[in-house]
Amino acid sequence: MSSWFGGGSSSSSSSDYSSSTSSFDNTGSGFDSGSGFDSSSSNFAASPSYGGGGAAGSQAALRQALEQEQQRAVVQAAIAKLSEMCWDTCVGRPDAKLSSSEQTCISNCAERYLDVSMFIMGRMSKGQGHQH
Amino acid sequence: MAGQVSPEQQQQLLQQVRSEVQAQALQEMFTKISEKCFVKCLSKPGSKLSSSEQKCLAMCMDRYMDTMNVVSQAMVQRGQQQ
Repeated sequence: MSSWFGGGSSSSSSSDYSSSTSSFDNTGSGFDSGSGFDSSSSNFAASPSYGGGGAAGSQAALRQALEQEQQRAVVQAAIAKLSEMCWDTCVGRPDAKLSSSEQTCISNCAERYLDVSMFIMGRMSKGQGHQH
Repeated sequence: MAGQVSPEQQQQLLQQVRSEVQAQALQEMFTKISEKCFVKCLSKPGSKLSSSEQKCLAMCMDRYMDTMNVVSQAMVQRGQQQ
């Protein structure tokens, strides 16, 4: 699964703006399929339901593909937001590479943020959001 | 457009949506990196960008992208655990 990242923290792509950007694009779809989405339908044209039925069937396929695009955009936005927060929290003076302590801090930061949102969501769904 | 959209048009629409979403994400990333690296590298803006500022900006940009990669890795690992 880590291959979806285009090599993870690859230093080779990081100096090339466009190529490392497209690796983020891959990241988005990797996350999608990791969380149980049907990765085969990410290519709309190759989607099996696409060629089939009449107008109704292909419209359903289109809707599904658009929803998937939206999902991908949501994941991308979350990555952008978390990256900003964890950058502010963890990264000092820019150097030739991220130090291992910076990397650990960023990982912890991202994972704890996800924990926090799960925690808050859990409390809210129990209707306890107003209590202390 | 209901019912009258050809497969080619659907494909085109989807492509358009994809590239617009991508373009916007790129735009936001550009803005964010400029903001963050300006703050990191230009504590006292002079009459022009010094070479050390340029070096700092280049590294800052690369490290910001590394940060995004570490974050997305952490997110996927989390996604797999659940």
